[in-house]
Amino acid sequence: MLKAFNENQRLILSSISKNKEATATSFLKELSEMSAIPLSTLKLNTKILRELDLVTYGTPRNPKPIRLTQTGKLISDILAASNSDFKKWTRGKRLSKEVKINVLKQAISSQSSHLPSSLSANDLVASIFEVFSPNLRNSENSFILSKGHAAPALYATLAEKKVISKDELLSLGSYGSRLQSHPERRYLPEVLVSTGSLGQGLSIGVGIALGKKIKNKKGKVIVLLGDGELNEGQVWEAIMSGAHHGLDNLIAIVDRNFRQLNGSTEKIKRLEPLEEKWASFGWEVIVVNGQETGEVVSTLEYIKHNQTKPVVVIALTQRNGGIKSLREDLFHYVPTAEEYERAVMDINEIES
Amino acid sequence: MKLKVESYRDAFGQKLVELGEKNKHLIVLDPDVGDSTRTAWFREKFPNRFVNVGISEQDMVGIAAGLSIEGFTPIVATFSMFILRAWEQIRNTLARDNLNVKIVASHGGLSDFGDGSSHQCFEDIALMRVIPEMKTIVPADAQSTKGLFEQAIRTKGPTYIRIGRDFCLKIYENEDDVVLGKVNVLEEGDDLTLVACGLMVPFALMVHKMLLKSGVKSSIVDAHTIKPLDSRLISICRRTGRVVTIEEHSVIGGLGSALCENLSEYGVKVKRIGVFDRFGESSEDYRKLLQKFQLDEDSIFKQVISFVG
Repeated sequence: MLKAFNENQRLILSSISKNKEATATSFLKELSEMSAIPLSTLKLNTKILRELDLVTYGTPRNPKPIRLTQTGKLISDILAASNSDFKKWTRGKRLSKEVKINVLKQAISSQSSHLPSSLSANDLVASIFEVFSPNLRNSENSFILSKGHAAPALYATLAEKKVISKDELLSLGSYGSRLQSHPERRYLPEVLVSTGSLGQGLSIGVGIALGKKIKNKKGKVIVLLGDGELNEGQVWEAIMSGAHHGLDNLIAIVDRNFRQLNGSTEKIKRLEPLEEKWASFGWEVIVVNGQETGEVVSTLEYIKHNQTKPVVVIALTQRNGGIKSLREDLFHYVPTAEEYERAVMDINEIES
Repeated sequence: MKLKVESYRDAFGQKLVELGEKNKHLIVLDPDVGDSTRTAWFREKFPNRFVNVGISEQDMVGIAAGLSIEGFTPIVATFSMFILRAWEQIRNTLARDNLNVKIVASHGGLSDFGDGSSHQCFEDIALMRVIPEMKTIVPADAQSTKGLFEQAIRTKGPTYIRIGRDFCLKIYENEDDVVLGKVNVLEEGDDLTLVACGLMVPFALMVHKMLLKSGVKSSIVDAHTIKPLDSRLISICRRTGRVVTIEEHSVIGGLGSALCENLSEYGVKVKRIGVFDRFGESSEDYRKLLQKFQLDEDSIFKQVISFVG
């Protein structure tokens, strides 16, 4: 989100929210004087913001005060949260980078992990842990990896959080390892709840969120779902339950990579219009670029402080985690040593 | 022999309210059948610890899992047939994570005589006892329903309790006449052992009297805890050498199967009486159905006699 706007646009958006009923012309004049930015530059950027439907103002003949639209207000809030959480944002990016490299290492050492599913979820899991530190000792927040096959992303994140060692990561799925191919609570309590069978995590999340409400306990419940997983009817039962009980402590995140085991989600069982579906079930819907850790972190920070009902974040992702040199089209995909070296270079480039 | 008629689900409903007073961690989940399962009595008393999740059993089991993670002891109650819709959720979440959720499944066997085969359930014991960690309990009467339910609440881990709808016959005076995990020997005789669960226990007691008149002395055992199976049951059966199991469930996978699995290495002859690989059907009268399925005392007696020769 921070990258989506230039500095001038961010300044205009944040200043309008403090503006008291001035017209565009007088507002921009004053802003130009204060910021020493040429008036023409500010005018141009304000026009762009109007085209994006983020601000409204009148014409010289019909003057109206310059104001933020509803979307503009939302974005301005998110930007404000992003700025104040800039440190988290950079930490999140660093975490995400380490996790990506370790997901690749796990795929190579185990020779059989759901690499693409883990990479597409990677930035999401890293961001969730950056913002909420769920499932860890003394944390009030809970996280369920409903798409259990992205276990490597969870394990790599837990390694960054010092729950497991980086050496242990390489034991993924091997005989005697705590790192089961799909996460299991009895081997690793930080998993919170065992998954692997799709479609069940959100119901469990509803239960935890409901339990917190009844006990008047603080904390958020975050459930990460795959998009293919939304084929399961139980997910929609849980979506109804979350809305019915007004769970303003429940956050669903959909890893929207448009692929499931045997092909495109839209060709197998059409999910679109996905935003409208969740919205019509009574959830607040936010769409983000799931490969932009900064944007995901800012969005989660925003939700953390501004939630009034269950929220779903539809995170648009790629199955190579944005690592251009990796293929997106395979399910159980193990990169060669050469591909790994290329990928690490790509990762360093993306995250720098 | 005249036994007092009581109701399984009423016993459960009363006990649930009683336990709700004492145990503030109890929370009840209902897939919109609370009036039928009698959890409605709990709903009236403790509305804040009762959730009607709507007609969605899979979601219900997931929610129960979440509530147990938050420290509650969730009770999920529905018809034994319909909880099976969430079998995989029970297996993959409740059992795998050994969560403290109690499933009370009413309307077992033919007890929902009016609703026919879609509602009558002969498969649940098989499907529950095959799951690791899942305790499987079939109380014989109202008192033992109350007693075993309370003991199940006090025992950590997932538990399946299967009861009938209404018709049950009183055999126990007190709730603590039964102990979870321990069989009850109700009569002793050396010729053969009748092992039964649920409503078939009082029927076995009637058959015991009828057998005595024919000069056959039988031991009668209430095997209310089908899993874990009491090791004492194995020694009792080995002593008499001949065993008949009686259950309102398929002969495939139920109590009879469980016993055979444990006795097969000892050369004990076992006759299984139950439902023989078929579905139920509607009737206005429970007893007529029991007769048709050869699960009334006369039919059971005939099958036992032909077994002992």
